[in-house]
Amino acid sequence: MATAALPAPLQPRRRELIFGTAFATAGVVAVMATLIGYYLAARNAGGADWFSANTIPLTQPNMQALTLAMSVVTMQWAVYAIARDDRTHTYLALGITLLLGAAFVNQSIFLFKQAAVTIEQPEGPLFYAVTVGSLLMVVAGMIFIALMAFRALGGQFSSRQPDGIAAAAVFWYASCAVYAVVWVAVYIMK
Amino acid sequence: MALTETRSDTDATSAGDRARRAPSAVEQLIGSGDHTSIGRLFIGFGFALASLSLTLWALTGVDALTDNGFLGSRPAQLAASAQVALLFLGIVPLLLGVAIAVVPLQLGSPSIAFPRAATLSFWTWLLSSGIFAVSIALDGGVLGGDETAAKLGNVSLGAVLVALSLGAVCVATTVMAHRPLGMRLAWVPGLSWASLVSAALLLVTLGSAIAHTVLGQVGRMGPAALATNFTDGLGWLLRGPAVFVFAIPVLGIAIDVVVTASGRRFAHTDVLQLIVGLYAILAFGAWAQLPSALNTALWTLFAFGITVPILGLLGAIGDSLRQGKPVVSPALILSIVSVLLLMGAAVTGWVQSLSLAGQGTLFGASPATLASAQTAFVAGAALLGGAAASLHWSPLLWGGPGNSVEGRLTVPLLVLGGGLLGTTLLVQSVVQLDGETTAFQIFGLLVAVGAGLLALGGLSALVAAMRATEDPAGEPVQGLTLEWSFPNPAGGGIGLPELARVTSPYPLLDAREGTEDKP
Repeated sequence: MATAALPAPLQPRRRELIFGTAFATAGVVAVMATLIGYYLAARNAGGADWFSANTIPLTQPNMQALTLAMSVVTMQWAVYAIARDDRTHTYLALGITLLLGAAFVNQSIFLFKQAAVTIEQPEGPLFYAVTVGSLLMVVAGMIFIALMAFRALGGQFSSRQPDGIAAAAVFWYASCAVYAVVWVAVYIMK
Repeated sequence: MALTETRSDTDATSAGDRARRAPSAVEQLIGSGDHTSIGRLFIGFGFALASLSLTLWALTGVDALTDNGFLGSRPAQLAASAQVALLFLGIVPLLLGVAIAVVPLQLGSPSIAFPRAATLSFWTWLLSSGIFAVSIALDGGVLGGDETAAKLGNVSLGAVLVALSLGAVCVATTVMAHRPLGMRLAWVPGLSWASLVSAALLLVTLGSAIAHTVLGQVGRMGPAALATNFTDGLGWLLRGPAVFVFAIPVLGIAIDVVVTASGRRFAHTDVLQLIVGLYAILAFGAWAQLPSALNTALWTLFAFGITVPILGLLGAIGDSLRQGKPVVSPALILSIVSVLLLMGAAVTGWVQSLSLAGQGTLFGASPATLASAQTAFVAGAALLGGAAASLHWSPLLWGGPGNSVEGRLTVPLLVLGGGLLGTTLLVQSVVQLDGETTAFQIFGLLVAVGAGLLALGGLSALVAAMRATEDPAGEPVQGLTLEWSFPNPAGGGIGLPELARVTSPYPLLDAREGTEDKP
C-alpha cells in the first residue's frame, strides 16, 4: 500500500556541540587569562631585569600572529562553505587551516630554541606556562578541526547540520585570540 | 524484508545474540553513561567525602581543645586541606551530581549532553580525589611539608578541578541544548537555571584555580613554594566573593522545593532568575585573587551586595509559603535553613569588610578565621542544600519517598552543625582580635562539635539515600515540573514522548489545571 510521504516534524535545532565547545572554551580561556595576568604581574615586578639574559626575536612571533590571522579567515571560509553545502571548499579550507596551524607549531618550536629560556631562570616557569599553554590550545584546535574534517568527509555535516565545523571554529578563534594577547604581553612588551 | 513485531525464535537466538553476553555489574557501573547513575554516584561519594573532610576538620578542633595534643605541626595543613577537600571532594561534586541526575529530567530529556564526558568526569574526579586524600594523610594536600606528597596534592587537586569543570560543561550544555519544544530559558525550573549559572561561573572560577596548579607543576615547586602558591594563588577560593560560587545550586534547590511544598506557582519566575543571576554576578571572585584586591571599593561592594539576592530569595520563599498551604518536610526545612546559612556567610563578609576598613583603629579580626567562617557557612549551606535535594527528589533518585528515620535525623544534625560551625568561627574571629588566643580551647571544642555534627548529618543523608527503597510508602508527590512525570526511580534513556508543547514554567500544573493550551 502506498503511503503519503509526510514531512518530518520540525524540531528545534540542537546546538549541543557548539554550546559544549563554548563552555569548555570559556574554562580554557580562564586558565590562560589567569596565567597571562600572573605573567604580567611578575614582569612588572621584575622591571629591567626581566629577560635581561635572553634575546627573544620578534620575527617569529610576528609571523605566528600573521599565520593565525590568516587561519581565522580560512576557518571562517570552512564555516561559510559547509553552510552552503560546498563540500570541496569546506575540505580545502579546513586543510589550509590545519596547514597554517602546523606552521604555527613549527615557528613556536623554532622560537623556543632561539630564545633559549631555561625553566630554572625566574622568568622560565611563567614564560613556558603562558606560551606553551597557548601552543597547546592551537594543537588542541588542530585535533578538533581534523576530527571534524573526518566527520565532514563521512557526510555528517551539511547545511542542515553544520555544528561540528562551527564548534571547531569557536575554539579556533579563541585560540587565535589568546595568542594575540600572548603576542602583546610576552613578545611585544617583553 | 518486512519486520514483524514479534521476532521469530531463530532471530532471537541468532549467532550475534548468542555471542553477546550481558555486561557484568562492574561493567555496567563503570561504563554507564546513564545520567541518573552518574549523578547518584557523585551524590553518594560527595556525601561520604564531605563527611570525611568534616571529620578531619573536627580533628583539628579536638587538637586545639587538647592544646595541640596530637597533631604536632600539622593543624594548619590539616585544617586548610580539610576545607579544600570539603569544597572540591564534598559539596561541589554533591551539587554537581544533583544537577547531572535531575536537570535532564526537569527538561524532559532522555540523557545529559555528552554522557561519556559526564562519566569521564566522575571517574577522573573519584580517582583524583582518592589521590588527594592519600596526599593529605602523607603530609601533602595543601600547605603540606613532605615534598613528594605536596607535589602529589597539587597535581591531584588540579585533576579534581579539571574533572569538575568537565561535569559542569555537560550540565550547562544540557540546559542550553536539551530543552523541550516551547520551553524558553526563562521557564526552566529553579535547579536547572541555577545549575546553568553555577556551571558557567564554576568553569571560570575553577579554570582560574587550575592555572595556579599548573604553575605549581611547571615551576617544579617544593613544599614551601607550593604552600605560598596556595596561600597567594588559591586562597581566594576560600573567601568571598568566590566562595559563594559553590552554593549557587542551593538557591535553585530551595526554589523547587518550596514550589513543590506549597503546590502553587511562583508569581514571577523571571524575578527569581534575576535573583539567582545577581547572586552569581556577586559571587564571581576570580578578579579578587591578589591581596591588593581586598579592602577596595569594588570588593566591599561585592561583600555587602551579595546580601541583596539572598534576602530577595528569602522574601520570595516567605511570600510563597505564606500564600500557599505548604507541606512541611525535611527537604523544606533544610532548603530554607541552607539559604539562611548563606545569609550567615554574607554577614561574615560584612565583618570582613569592616575589619579591613578599620584595621588598626576599629577592630582587627583575623582574616584567616573569617575566611574559614565564610567557608564553613557556605559549605554548610551547600551540604544542607544537597541533603534537601536528595530527600526532595528521593523518589526519582533513590526509588523511595525519603521519609525514613535517617532522613528525618539528617535535619537536626545538619542544621545544628552548620549553624554551630560557622557561628563559632565568626565569633572566634571577633573575640580573638589582633592574633590573641583567648578561649582557644572552647572554640576548638565548638569547632569539633559543629564539624562532627555536619559529618554525621552527611552520613545520615547518605544512609537515608541508600535505604530509601525500604522507606514506608508515602503520598505521591504532586510535582509541578517535568521531572515528576518520570517513573520512580528515574533512569536514563527515557524521554517524554507524549510531551505537549511547554507553555509555562510549570507544565505538570498546567496539565492538571487544563491550562496547557493557553499561550
